[in-house]
Amino acid sequence: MSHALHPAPHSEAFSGKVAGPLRSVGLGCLVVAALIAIVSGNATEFWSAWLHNWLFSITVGLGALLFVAIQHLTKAGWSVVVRRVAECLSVTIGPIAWLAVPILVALLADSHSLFMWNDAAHVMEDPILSGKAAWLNAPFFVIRTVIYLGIWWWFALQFYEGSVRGDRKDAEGQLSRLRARSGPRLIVLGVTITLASFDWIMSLDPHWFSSILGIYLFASAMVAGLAALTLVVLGLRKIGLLPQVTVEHLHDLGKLLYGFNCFWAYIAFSQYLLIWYANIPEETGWFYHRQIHGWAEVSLVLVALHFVLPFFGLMSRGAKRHAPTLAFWSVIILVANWIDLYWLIMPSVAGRSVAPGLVDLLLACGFIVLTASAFVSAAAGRSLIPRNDPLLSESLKFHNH
Amino acid sequence: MSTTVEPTPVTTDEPEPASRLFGAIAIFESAEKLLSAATALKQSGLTKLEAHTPYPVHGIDEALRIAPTRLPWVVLAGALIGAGGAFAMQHWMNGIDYPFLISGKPLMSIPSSIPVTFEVAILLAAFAAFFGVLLFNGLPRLAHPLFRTQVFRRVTSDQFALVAESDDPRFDELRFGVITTEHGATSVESIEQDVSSVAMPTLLKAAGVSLVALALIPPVLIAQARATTSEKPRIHPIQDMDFQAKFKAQTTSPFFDDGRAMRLQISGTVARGDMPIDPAISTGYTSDAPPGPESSQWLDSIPISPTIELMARGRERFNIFCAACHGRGGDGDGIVTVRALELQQGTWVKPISLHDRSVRDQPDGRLFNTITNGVRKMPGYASQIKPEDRWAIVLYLRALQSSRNAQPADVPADVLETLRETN
Repeated sequence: MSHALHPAPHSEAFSGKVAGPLRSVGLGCLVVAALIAIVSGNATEFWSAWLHNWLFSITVGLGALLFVAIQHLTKAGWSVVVRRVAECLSVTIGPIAWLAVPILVALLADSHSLFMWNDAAHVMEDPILSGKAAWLNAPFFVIRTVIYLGIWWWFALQFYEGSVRGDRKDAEGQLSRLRARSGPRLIVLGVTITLASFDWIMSLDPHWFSSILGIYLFASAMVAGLAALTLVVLGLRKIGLLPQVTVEHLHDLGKLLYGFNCFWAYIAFSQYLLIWYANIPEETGWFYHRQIHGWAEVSLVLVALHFVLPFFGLMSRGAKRHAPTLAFWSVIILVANWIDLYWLIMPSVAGRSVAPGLVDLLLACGFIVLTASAFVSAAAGRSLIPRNDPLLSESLKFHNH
Repeated sequence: MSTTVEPTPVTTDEPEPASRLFGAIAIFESAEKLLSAATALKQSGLTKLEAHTPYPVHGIDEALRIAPTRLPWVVLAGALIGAGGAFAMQHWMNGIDYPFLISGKPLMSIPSSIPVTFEVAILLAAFAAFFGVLLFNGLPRLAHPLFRTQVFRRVTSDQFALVAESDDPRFDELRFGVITTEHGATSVESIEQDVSSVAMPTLLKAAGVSLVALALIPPVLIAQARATTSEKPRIHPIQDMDFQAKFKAQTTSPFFDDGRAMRLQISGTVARGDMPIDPAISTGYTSDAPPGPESSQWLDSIPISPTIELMARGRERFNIFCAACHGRGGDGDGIVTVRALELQQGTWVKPISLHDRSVRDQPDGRLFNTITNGVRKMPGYASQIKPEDRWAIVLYLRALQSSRNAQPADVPADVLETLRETN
């Protein structure tokens, strides 16, 4: 490899100094939110907001993990200069996964302010819930959640550490190992994401079922991961830490973001169309709850913000190649994903209204800041691009036709 | 001249020359040389400059100062026309021209029209892209002066060419040659243009007109057939489907002695579900025909043993078959009734309450007969509900009626105690 291809030395100068303060700020937000919940005694609001914002952070890391696995599976050359950032984003799953512990502990302590299937008296009276009790019970739910998160964290760490090891020696060997594993891992991810969506989202309304919800969460994760990746890459490039990323890489990130955002709309509409057409009360109830008490407006905001506006706004080649425009739409899509998860979770939770409260905003801040802190820790002291990757020169020279 | 096979020399009675200058072509060995020459030529003010390369060369757009293509706008317009047209078409066809109610959905529903809207948008976008490319590139073009030069042939394999056209006001063949050679052109040639008539040969024109005329015949014949009546039998293009080698029900067959196509049941066999049972159990009365309302020939009690399973079965069947109109409690307030009354359907008869004295006083057999054969506007359910299930429904109905007319003595003492407490 020619000397000119080596990255600028300051790529490695990304210090982890801000990680600690960020972590303190994030945990502080969570603690204040918990105190407010204890004082106001509104457990439902706190737990639903916790689940929502936790899931938002998880979709970012999960999307980055899926992105990394797909790059290895397809042996992609263009994306090498942004892959390390995606790897660092994907390992945020680890620290964020620990924040599921409060929910799991609450479940084991028989709390049913979030999941009504954990209310033994209620389940006894409800033949449908009794029938589902073999799957929907606190110990098994906890075991499953630990398995999903454990698998995702393990995959993310393997991709990240293999890639980092390749910076020092034997990049080719590391990469071929990761490539060989990426296919089976994507299959495992597909299965676990599907089951996780059933557990974390569908079981909030345990009578309702929709087999497409798994791919809905997959689409949300891809969109969230790509939007966050694009934003982080743009930010690092702006402060001069990723000079290798050219407008061509931004163009490709924009294309993927645009494509997966349309994919999300396609999946969301498919779910709606089938339920609307069949018109069976046990399925339509879920959408009915999202059309009353102000949720209809949220649904329309979602259609506009998560599909119609980005569809036209990010359509042109020029928009994807113009950093500020791309950043703007990435933010819009991330916000839309936050609203989407809010819309998926809150109408199913008894006692939640449309308007988010102080607890929601504090937890949103807390989880976003903690994700940022986890990212900074993962990136600190590392080269921000896989500098020995055999495909790096292809990526550096990459041009869109 | 006389010994070689040269083309016929230009005859003197044609004053025009056979060709005139189209432009000049310069050949390069590499893309880099082509790019630098193109940049230099553009700087010299040439506007009509084209590059021909064996593969897409990065930076060629900038070097030739090619304006961004307008094709995306054409494609977007195609997609929007497709989406709008398909949406309007579905709404006009299904909502206005031929209103057709499907599954009780609104005549103009947005969700069901989105898949077709999407598909037609893609179709017209693809058409716009395909035909837009042809249009913007002036294609199809059957001939081009460049194909008259030998050197141009290798641009599809390993050579790079720059072509300047002579109708550019800044075109100067000599200067073109100098600049391109400075940047490494291996050869520079001028290109001649054929000036013979571009009019289409008469034969081709005649053939084209004939083809169009012939193509009009089938649609004219179809239009004629659709607009007129005919006494001839219709054409059967698929004989095997229209005339099948089989006998239909209730027809004759020369194959069997009795001349019937349908066969009789073999004596001593019973068809599934045809097991003969006591006529009283399958009808609810003991006479030969349904007796009058006050007759004593109605069965007075349920002829099968009333178990708790039968009660559960009856409740389930009642909720499936009866509750839609009669209501789960039998008050005549089922969802179909509620909806029909809401819509003010004049022909709808509200079922009377099953707790009405006139129903309560009927013998069990008469209730069974009503389920079997229907009454007033209620249709018979014999084909949907088996006799045992009809008796199960009667049993459950009796339980429903008792629930409204029970005396404290009918309730077990311990249950009565709990009821008192809850009240």
